[in-house]
Amino acid sequence: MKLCNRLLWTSAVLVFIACSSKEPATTSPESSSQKTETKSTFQLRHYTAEKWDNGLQVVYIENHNLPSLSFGLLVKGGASRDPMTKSGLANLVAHVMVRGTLKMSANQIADGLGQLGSEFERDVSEDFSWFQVSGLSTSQEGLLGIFSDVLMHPRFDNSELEKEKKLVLASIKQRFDHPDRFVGEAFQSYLFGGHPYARPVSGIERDIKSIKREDLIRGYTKFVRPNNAVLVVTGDFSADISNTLHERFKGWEKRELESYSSSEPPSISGINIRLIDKPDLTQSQIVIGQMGIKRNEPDYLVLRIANNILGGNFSSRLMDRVRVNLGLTYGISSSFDARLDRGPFTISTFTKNQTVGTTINESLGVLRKFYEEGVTSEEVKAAKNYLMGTFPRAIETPERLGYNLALLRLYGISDDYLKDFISNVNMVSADQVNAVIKKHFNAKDLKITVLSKSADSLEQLRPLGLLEVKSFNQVF
Amino acid sequence: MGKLQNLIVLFGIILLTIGALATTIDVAKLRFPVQKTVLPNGLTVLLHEDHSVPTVSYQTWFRVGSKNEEPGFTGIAHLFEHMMFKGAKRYSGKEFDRVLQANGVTNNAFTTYDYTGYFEDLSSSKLELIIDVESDRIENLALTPENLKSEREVVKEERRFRVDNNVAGALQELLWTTAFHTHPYKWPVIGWMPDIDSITLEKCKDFFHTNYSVSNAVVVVAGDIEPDQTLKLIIKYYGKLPKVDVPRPPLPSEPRQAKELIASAQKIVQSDNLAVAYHITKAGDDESYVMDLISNILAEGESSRLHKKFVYDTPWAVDVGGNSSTPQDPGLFEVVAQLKPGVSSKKLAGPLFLEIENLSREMVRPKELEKAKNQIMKHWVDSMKTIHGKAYSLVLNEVVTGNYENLFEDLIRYEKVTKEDILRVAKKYLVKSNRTVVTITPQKGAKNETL
Repeated sequence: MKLCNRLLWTSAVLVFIACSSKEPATTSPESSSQKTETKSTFQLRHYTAEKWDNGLQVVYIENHNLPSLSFGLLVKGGASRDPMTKSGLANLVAHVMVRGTLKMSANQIADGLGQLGSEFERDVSEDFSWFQVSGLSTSQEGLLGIFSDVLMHPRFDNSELEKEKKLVLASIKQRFDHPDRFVGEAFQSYLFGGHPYARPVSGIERDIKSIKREDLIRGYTKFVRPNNAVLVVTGDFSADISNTLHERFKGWEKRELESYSSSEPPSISGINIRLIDKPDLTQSQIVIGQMGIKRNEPDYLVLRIANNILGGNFSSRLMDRVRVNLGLTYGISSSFDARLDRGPFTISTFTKNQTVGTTINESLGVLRKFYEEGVTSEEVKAAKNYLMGTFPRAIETPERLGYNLALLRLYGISDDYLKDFISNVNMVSADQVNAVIKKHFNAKDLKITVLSKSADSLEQLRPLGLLEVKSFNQVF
Repeated sequence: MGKLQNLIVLFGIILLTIGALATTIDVAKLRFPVQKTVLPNGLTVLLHEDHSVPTVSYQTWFRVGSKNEEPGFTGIAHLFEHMMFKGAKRYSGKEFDRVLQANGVTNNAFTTYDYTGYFEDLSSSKLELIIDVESDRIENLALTPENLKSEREVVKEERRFRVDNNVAGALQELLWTTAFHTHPYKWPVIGWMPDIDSITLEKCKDFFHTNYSVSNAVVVVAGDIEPDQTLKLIIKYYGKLPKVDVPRPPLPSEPRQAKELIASAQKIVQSDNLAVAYHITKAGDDESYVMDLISNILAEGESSRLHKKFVYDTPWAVDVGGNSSTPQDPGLFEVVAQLKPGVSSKKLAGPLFLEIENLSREMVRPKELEKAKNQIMKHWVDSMKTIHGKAYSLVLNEVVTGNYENLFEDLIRYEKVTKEDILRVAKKYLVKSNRTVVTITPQKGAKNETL
């Protein structure tokens, strides 16, 4: 029988919203002490890394347990580097790249990969784009042929661009039909103001309409270069893979990269609330947050432990108070989205319209107590064990480890982050955790976005802070 | 301890290879050893040893789902799943969650029409702790009025989140509740809101005593374990629990659908959403393998027929996807389309049905069938990449088909499907009278964006 029965999963209801174990270890791992709690000594899988003359970094993780392999390419840049009036450009570049090369049409690419059981995956986020094909190891040559052709020789046909733009514009309209996703983008827009992180990755309507073929070619030429990328090869590949790769990527030339700096996001004073009115909703989506940290912040690991206690697992303080004790929500969590530039710190939840004020108040109460009183050594011990215990699963497969190694190269962080993860977590003390809470959290200056039926929620929100109201179709 | 049925599966002698690819894959090499034991009290235990990572996946599935509920109390299987996290005797109240988190365990649970699954992924050194925790809640679950009161509200928020304020969830619910009239698949797993409100503590206790015994459970332990030692531990903790007869009165079967069924709803949405379904077969049947391939050909990924036709060539939809859902009793093959703003589902419906039902008129090309087999094989291999994935696949086959070994027959059975089988099964199921069509469209007079 089919193993991934999507329908059964959609009709399956989980006891709580799980943190996916596929999440990169650099943004969310977990576990138990290597020395004291695991009988097997945990070690990273063996991998090798090299740098080519054209600047391309290559990581190999060999594994012959299953007849499968994958090729992934991380390209630095992402949506945050889109020109100010061309939001959504990186996303369009990634999608139109697979719509034709000098040798193959869009259908030939899709069919060619489909025949090998595969598909061209592309995923664009604020700081980078990720391209991947994976398949059975018997298809190594075929997969690599199409993968390298798409990355090096995209055609960027105008007709394909126009087709993709229409698809993106339709998706942008449909944002409103997905309250949980929409509120996340709306919050970033509110938090970041004029900073590039304010813009949704898929762009805003007027920018998308203005994007032309020349913009795509410029965006591609600027970013999809070997000296701006990390290639990750994992799985059951052949012994001569390095030669094969050199042959396939021959002629891919490096280019001087432009330096980049971004504007400062606006500062926050007091509690500011943006209520977005969507009159059909019976449940309100809530995001509470402030500016967080860069990924290369030295306190990153200690902050992960702090956040785990606040809202990073099922027995966190937020879960305990807002879900378990009060039954106000099905899910509540907090997280640091640490990026190249400072990303957001957020608390996200949802509740019926009638209890939106109470839910925000209770969540803020938990945050205030956390900030003012700090955490106990028992809590720190439990959080450390959780992070150490779940860590091996975050990098269980060669693909997951490869993706994490690519991310470390993006952020300029040593692989020691993964190699020493367990021992470094183990060494953190409660005093260190309490110190970073005082340094990086702030319980009085926050922005809150609420997506709700304002007729139900307006009066509940008014006493909580400085309030502004917008219609759902006036957010971006 | 009495006699144990101990079946050890050895590596198969099957040498069949999947020949669709340029170089063949030896299916026999994809098998892995599993030890199956049924304890005298009826507990089925599956053990798989794999030391590639120091991790164990521990899963306990009960053979009870929403189909075993009674009308008026729909949603109790799922609400009860939540109650299983409220503590027992040795790990009482909040201690249950606290212990798991403090030991680096990832855990969750899910409820479906047919079964309810609980899982923990853990460091192998925590194995005995988890066996203790899991056997404690089967034996001594604490059900209190306070817990039911707060958890009921949590579940109602979950329903608002997944269905009432979620277009895709609402469309799924409308599709299944329209297509089924007799069989319990006619109500949603999460239950109707008034029913969730009317479930009492007594009902929960009855549900627990009827369905949550070792006799109705399958435990799978996969990963960094020593099978013999693990079995001893399981016997130590579960062996003393009593054998219980689980009443399973026959469920009403769904009569053959006589004519096309249509339903629609309006919401403040930006575009039309359309779903079409056809009644099909159940898990494990030969036809279920044919339907998976049909689903793949029509609606899996960018090289599928429906994506090419309606997202790429004639771009009316933002996305068209499909799924052949074959649970324990006959299920549905469904296709879901999210249209572009301004494109009517009425415009899409005719051409979409034509394209789907065309498989019952024209033989599929051999290369297209080969592509579908390759994609399914790749998905199968991907499912085995993690310890959790292996454990899940084993227990799913054991619970739904009655034998975990069916997992290893999958690829052989897909490979056997011919283009004639596709035509025959499509002719049988993909016909108008067997069709259910539902839409969610923008509310008239509401303020919607226009493209």
